[in-house]
Amino acid sequence: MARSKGDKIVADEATASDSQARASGEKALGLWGDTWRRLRRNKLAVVGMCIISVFLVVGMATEIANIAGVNLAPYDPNQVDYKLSPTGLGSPPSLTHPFGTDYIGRDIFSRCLVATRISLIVGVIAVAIAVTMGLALGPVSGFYGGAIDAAIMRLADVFFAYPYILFVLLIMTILGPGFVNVFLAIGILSWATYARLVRGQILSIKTMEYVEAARAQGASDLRIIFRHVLPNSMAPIYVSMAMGVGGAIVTEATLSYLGIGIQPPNASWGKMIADYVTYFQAGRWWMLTFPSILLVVTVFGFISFGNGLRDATDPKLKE
Amino acid sequence: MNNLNPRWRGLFVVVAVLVCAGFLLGACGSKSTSTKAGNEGTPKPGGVYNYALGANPVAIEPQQALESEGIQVAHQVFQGLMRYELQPDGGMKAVPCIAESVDTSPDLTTFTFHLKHGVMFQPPVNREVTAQDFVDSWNRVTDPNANSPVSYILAPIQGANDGGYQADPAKGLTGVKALDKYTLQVKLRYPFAEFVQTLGHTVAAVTPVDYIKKIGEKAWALKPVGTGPYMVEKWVPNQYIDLVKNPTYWDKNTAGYVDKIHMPIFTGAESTQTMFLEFEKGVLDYSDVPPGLVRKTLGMPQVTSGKWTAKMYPALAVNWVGMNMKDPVLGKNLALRQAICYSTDQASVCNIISEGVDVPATGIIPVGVPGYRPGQDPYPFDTQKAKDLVAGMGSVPTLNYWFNTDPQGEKNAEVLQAGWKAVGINVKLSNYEWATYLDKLSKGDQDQMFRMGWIADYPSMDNFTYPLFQSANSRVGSYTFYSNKNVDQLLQTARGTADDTQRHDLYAQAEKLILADAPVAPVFFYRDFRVSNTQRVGGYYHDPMGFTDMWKVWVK
Amino acid sequence: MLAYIVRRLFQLIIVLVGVTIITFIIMFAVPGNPARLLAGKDATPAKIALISHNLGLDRPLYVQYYKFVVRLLHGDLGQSYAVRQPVMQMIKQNVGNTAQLAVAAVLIEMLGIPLGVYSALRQYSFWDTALTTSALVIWGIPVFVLGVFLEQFFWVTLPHWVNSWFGTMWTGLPQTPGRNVWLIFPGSWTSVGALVLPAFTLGILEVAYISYMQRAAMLEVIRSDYIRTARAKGLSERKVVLKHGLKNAIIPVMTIAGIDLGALMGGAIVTETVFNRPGLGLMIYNAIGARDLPVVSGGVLFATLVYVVANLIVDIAYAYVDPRIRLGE
Repeated sequence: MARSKGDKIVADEATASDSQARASGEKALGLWGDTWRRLRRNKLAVVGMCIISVFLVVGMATEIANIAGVNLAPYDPNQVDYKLSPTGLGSPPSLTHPFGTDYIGRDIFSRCLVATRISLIVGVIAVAIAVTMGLALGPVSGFYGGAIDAAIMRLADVFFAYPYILFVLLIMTILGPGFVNVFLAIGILSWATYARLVRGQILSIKTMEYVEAARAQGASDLRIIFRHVLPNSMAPIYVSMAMGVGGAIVTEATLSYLGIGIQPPNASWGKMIADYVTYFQAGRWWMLTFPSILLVVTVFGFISFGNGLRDATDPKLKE
Repeated sequence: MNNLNPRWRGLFVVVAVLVCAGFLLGACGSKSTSTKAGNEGTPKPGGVYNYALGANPVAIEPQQALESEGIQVAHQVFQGLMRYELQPDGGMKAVPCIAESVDTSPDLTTFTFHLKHGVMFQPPVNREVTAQDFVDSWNRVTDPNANSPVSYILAPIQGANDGGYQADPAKGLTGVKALDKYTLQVKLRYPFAEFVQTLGHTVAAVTPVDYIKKIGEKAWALKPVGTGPYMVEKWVPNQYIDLVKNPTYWDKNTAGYVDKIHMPIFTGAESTQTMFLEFEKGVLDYSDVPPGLVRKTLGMPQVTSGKWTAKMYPALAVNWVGMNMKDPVLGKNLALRQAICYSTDQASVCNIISEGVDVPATGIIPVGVPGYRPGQDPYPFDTQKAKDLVAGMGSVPTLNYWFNTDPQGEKNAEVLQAGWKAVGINVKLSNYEWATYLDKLSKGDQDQMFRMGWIADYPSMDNFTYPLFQSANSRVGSYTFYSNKNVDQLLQTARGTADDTQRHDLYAQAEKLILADAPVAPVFFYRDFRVSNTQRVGGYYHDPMGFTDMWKVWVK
Repeated sequence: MLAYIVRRLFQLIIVLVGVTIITFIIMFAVPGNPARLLAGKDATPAKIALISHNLGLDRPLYVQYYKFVVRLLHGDLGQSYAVRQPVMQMIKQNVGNTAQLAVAAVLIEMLGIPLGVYSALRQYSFWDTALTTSALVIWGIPVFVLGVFLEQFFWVTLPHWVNSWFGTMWTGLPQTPGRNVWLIFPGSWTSVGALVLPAFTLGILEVAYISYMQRAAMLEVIRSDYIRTARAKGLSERKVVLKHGLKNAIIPVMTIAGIDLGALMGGAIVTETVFNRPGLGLMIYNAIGARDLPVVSGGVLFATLVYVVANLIVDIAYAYVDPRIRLGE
């Protein structure tokens, strides 16, 4: 696909943003209290939040354990044991190995567990990079307008028009495969979404009275942007970020599936799917199934939460 | 799907192995009789043979054909002075094709070929092949502006440089002369006993150069014309290649049975899987078997009932762990390299990852190369020896192991890593895309160990030693930067030795010396696992060079 | 209106120039030399240098880019290093397959419109919840995961079942190449059968997205003032929904579908890779591996061109249909 699903999730936010959520001048606190109330009523969003919470807890726990050099999983995820895969086809789920073992006898449950960490880091850091870049360029573009605006927006156009997955592939070919390069590539290529969003918000806000009032009081541009404009235009950005984490996780999985993501013997869900797909045909369903389910459930969590958040912050849907 | 009780599964495998063994024996029995007899039936003409290509060939004409797919197609369309034929001992030998006979000068530098009369180019060229055609063809492929990736086969000829390009394009390939219409004289730059053995390679095939000039290289690349039993009807890149029977073919004995060979092209990451699925449906008569399915395939009812033939064909190819001799840690530490060799878990790679298709390598030169010496295996898998060697060294730093991006290579790497770790050698894995990989390896400043291998260009011990480990060649042949004067000396002497046994001895000695220095840890000799629809076609064989002589195939 | 189109065309050219420049810069930064790949096994440095020179790879970046632009103005995208064919011809060979897939996928995703409308009209009903939930689940499935499972099920498991149930019938069929026993089993990539699974994979993911968007758009419209007015005027509910509601709610969704079509026309890399389906995406993917600059730059340029033109057409159509939209920013 020219754009991955992940990108689509992010990219269409930009088109949707024009028609929705002109940020109001409400005080931030009131806005979020209201949002929270409406979010809680949305069952799908609540399910999404639960999934994300579990994902975050497991991912952070494995990451901390990783830093501390402890293994949280029941087995060493990279421990090869040919006894558990006598014919190179793994062994089916059992009480000792709930998800079964893979072609060289590694415990799939343990691998799935530590893979959570990879997805979490890729998702969060990639989005953080993109948002940082977007927050740096978007306000500049929206606030100053003119040639700077045109230059940044044309560059954003180029980034939008460039077939996304190809772009990521090309950047990965330059950087080489590897964990760090995955989130760098995804992050660098996703800035345009956030830059456009922020710019759109700023254009609609900058003429508002309280911004003009601030300017009349002699506040500097930077101060206006960060004190007054940004806090009031963050809602659609938060929505985009939630969707963006899901999208980044999908992109990482796709890159790993194409063989240029995480390096062996480390596990990520996408890499496990790529490694295990050949064995599905031989009737070894457990290898492929469990990482696929985890990947899909996690992404579902982010998407339903993101959608719920959008509905909850959309003033037009207020009853 | 196939969740058999483990006990039953064991029985299943045993039965499958027995059945497979039966097939192998049967094949061996019928091989000695010249044409396919036995239960295969009698060949009959007509029909379409559906042969799958695992990738879109880069080229199917001699100057550019490089990969197995392109060469497979070219093998049906083009012919040279010699062609490879499988010998009863399983080795491959070059036998005369367009050449009738060859005279060799005692100093092994001049070869005179007498050509057969009446060899015709396919339509639309339709004229007899003469000695001058070989002169023109070889000049065309060695033209420095043609960028041929395979012309190095012709590098020994006078007028060529080491890369196989003409040293002086104005003079051309000075060593090749047409003495008369049917006599071709070839002079070499240095004595090279196995030169005739190299001439079965597609790059040495004859092409109608006047015709190429007339229609242009672009049109030629898509629809080339040779002298073989089949001619190109149509090539739609990434989709299919169709070959049809050559109506004016010159040799009755190899005229071919089927009217048409349809070759659908399978591209992309899971191409083997799709190919096998198509085969299962009966759309293809031949297929590779995807990883993970080997043992299952051997037990499939179609195989056990004899509808399909599923076999592992030895290939003239070896896979090894290369070691960078320029590396400060690895290059100066023979004990460490030997410990790596001893702890290279060949058996697990072969049994677990390739499911018994590949066989553990005993050295550098694989089975099937004329002169192969069985029985030597300097580095059997021996963890105790490896541990002792490691213990003698005190501490071993973490090494890196590189491989090119490829699912199978990655799984092998994981197994190798586990084997080394068990004896205390810690290894970090990284993969690079093929183009990047070669660039980095040829610089040799970051890599320590790496996946590399060699597929024979021509069946000869020389091909597994000289281009790979001769001091001047090791940086681009094996990427090991290996250098040993004694080895160079032996290889040089071998090239100038006319007697087969004597020469093979010299190559074997060189191999022994190389292995003693351990610039590579041999992992496995390749075998190709292929299934063929025996119910529909007969006469299929896959030789150690990877060729299928499709003119021997017929549709039942 | 005309001024608007002219300005958009101008922006479009800037985007295309930007895309080609980025492609060139990336391909120069990418490690790996196409000449080394072309030089084959015995790649001596002299040989690589010679091939580089013959391909013009030894010239500076800006010279190569200049030559690319000059050729482009003459309607020539250059010649592939690896395949030795004109890039234009390669695109022509692959565009048909890609177009088939794109159109089929977009047709399938249109199913999302009735589903979304139904959901919106029966908000909070059981079927609404079921549809919305499954839409969100499917939305999050990566293309390759769905493709792999569908491929395994329809091309492996199902034929095996059929084989065991109707063994004789299955094997008794005449075994001619290209025969499609069932529609979902491809014979060759040019056949209709080969289209079903890849198109379904892409389409079903988009159905989820489209139906969710259609539901949201419909809900928004239903709550709007003019629908309330229409209801107040005493129009029948059916007429209100179909004539006033759907007409307005369908516009943003059609926009998404139009842009999708443009994006898919540039090649569906992942789908084409999972299904080994020849097309523009696979062509570019393979060319990246071969460091085949002319094919990568030509392919990316074509894909982007189709995408931005589709966007432009959609925007212009949008402006015609919905007069509320301002043609400004």
